[in-house]
Amino acid sequence: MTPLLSVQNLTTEFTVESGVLRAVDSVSFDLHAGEVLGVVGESGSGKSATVLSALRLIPQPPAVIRGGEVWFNGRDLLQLSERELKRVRGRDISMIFQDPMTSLNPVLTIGQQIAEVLEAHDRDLSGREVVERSVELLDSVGVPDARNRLKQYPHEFSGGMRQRAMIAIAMANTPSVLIADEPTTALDVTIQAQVLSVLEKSRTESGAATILITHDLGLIAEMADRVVVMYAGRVVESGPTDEIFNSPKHPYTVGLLGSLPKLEGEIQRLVSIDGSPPDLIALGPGCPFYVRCELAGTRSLCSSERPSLEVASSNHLSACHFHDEVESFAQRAGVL
Amino acid sequence: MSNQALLTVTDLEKHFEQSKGAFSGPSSPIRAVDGVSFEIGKSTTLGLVGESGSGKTTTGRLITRLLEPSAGSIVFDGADITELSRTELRPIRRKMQIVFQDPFASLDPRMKVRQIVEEPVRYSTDVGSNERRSRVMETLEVVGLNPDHAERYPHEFSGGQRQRIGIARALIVRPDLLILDEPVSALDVSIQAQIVNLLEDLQEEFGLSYLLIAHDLSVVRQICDEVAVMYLGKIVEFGTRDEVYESPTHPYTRALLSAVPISNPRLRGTRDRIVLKGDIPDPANKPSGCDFHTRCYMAADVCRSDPPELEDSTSEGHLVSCHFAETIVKENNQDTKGKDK
Repeated sequence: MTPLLSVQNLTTEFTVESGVLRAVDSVSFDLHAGEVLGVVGESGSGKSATVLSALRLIPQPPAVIRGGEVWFNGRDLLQLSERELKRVRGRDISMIFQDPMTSLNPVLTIGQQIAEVLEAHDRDLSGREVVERSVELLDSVGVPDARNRLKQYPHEFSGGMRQRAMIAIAMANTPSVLIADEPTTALDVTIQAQVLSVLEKSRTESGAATILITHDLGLIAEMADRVVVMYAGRVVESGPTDEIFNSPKHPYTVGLLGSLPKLEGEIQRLVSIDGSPPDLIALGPGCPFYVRCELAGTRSLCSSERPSLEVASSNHLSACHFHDEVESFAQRAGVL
Repeated sequence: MSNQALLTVTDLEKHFEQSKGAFSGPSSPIRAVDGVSFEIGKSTTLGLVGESGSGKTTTGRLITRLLEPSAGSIVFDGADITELSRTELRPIRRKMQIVFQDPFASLDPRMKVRQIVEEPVRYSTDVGSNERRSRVMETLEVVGLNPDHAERYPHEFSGGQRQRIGIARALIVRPDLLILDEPVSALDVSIQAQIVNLLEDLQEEFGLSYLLIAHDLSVVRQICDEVAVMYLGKIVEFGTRDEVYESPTHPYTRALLSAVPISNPRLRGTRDRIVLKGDIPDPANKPSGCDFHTRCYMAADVCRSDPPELEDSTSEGHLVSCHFAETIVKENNQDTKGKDK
């Protein structure tokens, strides 16, 4: 099956005072029609930089996209003209960001912002059609009293309502790909639950394939069909969600799972990962996770040679020299 | 428990006046904390859980008198500290310390780590300068920092290490109670686990009591012995960890727990998610009757008119403030029976 969106060897660098930092390092993954692909990682792992680079939304400078291909509908997004790309973004691929306060325009009403997106992609819509479609959209994301709310400004909306409006804008042109970057992180738990169920409803109704970027493994467990785990700008593991959680093939994934306090089952001491993520400017020749890795110990292969992403089992990739040993390592650590 | 309570808070209230300008007439105060009572025993951890605006952080500030209570009393280690003057408070403040959420904002960027950690004992007459220095080194080691790093500045440390510095600063005065205000919510999950483990180790080593203020229910479950759930300035449910997590009895607690994402994809579909309607009401304009009735899926007429009392729902001090507590207790009992079969 041809993937809907295929990212290949995407590499993005930032030039900072102390050197060149590779925020996205040869990242490859496919997104298939209708699926939810979870991209999980901690701050600085490159998960947001990856999708922003893929859509060329990353600010250049300071960032420079060094290489790679992003295939969508038979075209490489990195080669399109800005005008062609604009047509893709917003119509075929749309994004929901973490903080709706910064991604909505404070001086335009919610109605104007929905209309802007609708009109940009269908100039033949009449004013009345735009209003009717906008009411419909706000209604579908559960904003009460939609017709009147269209006349309001973002600051008159609560956090949860703003995020609903963002979803309405993102879904306005029934995109085939939806990218949600930490869509619920800034929200309180009960509001998070509301927004998630709205997102889930919009997604299933439109059938949009979704890239869900999050640091929250719980969200991944809940929503994703497949998972890409990122560390230090690279993909370190990818596979079906059930396998990632129940037979992980990378020690970093094991550490993440062990670090997660749970709401069910016996309470055990958390199995944490020592140390902190590496400085991307001063990466050595070995595996970027090596210094924090208990499985590596003192093995010289890990400190000298960077592992590439290889097939560990069918559909399951791992960038660990010793991926065969990871499952039993996880069991010993009490994570599985 | 009451005879060994380290901290006893009774009917604590904090009202903030809002100024609305000269022509808008009198405005109603925001009742940020509205009659909160609880105890913390020695070497135990109480979790104060709630969403933004629930009053959990304000409660923490009131206990240390960083904010002045509008009403109620705070008894710490047998002494009523509600009315003490700043000077009288000083020795007591040493016994209770706060660790703040944001390790980037709460450390002075121009001070070296040694100075930051030393600060709370710098002017104390009973600790000499040599002793101070060795205590700093010792404390850094206790929280898992390299004493060689004492001469560095905060910006040279990662978020997790900065939180360790914040904990060291709190520990150096050898307190009995730590108020942990969202100590891990700004941290990445792998670092969060390190700090959670550290807090557990410190409690065991020094017999500390914790008041953990947090919105993350999984973190609270990991650390706390007892849990109080707050909504709009009031405690709506209180109980031991097992009582609250295994038999949540306030509709709000049940909704909160159901909203936490699952931890393994194999649990998909096992949790019935309760999605509450609407937003948390404006604390300056609270609803009539039960504060929660505007969002409650069980609300009836009585909830709109009569505020419920925080009462024992079963026994063993599991307190719930809901007119329908009995119904929910029955439901919970049936659920557990169902599980046994």
